Amino acid sequence: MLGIFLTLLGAGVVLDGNWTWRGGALMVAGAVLLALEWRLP
Amino acid sequence: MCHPWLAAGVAGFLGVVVTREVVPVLRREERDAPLAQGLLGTGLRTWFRGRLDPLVDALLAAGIRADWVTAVQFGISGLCGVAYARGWLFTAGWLLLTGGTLDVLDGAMARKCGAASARGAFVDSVVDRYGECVVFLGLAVHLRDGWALWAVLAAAFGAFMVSYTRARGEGLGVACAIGLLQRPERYVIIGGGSLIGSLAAHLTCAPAAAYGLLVGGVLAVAVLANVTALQRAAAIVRQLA
Repeated sequence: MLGIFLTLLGAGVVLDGNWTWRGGALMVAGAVLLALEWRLP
Repeated sequence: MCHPWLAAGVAGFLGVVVTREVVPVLRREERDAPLAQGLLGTGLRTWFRGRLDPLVDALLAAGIRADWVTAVQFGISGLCGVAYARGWLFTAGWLLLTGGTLDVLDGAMARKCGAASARGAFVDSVVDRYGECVVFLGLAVHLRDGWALWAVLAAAFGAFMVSYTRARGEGLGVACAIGLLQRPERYVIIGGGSLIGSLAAHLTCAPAAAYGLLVGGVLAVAVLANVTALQRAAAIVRQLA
């Protein structure tokens, strides 16, 4: 859940605010967290 | 400035999440589940609460109280209203769905640690109403220049009437939690409409797409929330007769 929300927050930062690097960093962090969440039982 | 490639990536990401998480739940759900329990159905609600369970445990283990989550939820609703007023539709939709998640989370935390009380339920309801009010205010500011403002006002009125009919019924000793469009459905329709609309606008580099989907969501809530309020009123009148 946290991974999904973090990824979408990052996307919003880029799409609405045009802050590419900050949003991109949030998206990468969210995607990593989501990958971990889906691998854990 | 539009970001079609990022929008396509986010749309793909949401597609994977929905396919992986939601579709199996929808397949399991009974076909004849009563719509009176809400458009989302009991299967999706149960799945969502189940997915939040680990988060509930982690927050309780960290010593975080349900009251604090309620306060954060109100703060996020305020930010959501500001985001709508500024026209940041993707962020606003995301914040609306996050606030809705916290709304479920605080109740689950209170129940799990045995802190559920009449005081907590009352504070939660009041915060929910103010939170919704701020979101609708933001939407009204965003859509103030067209006929869609009337749809926002009708949606806000319907949303408050859904809560009022239930509260008034309970005050008269009649429990009534039925209805097509309860709070989670409102979050999903308006929040989802904002997210998908913003993605469509970035994909096509046409801002009108975001406007169309957002207004479509608000119109749907305007109609269905008032239908739900009337459903509840009719059910309560039948029980009181």
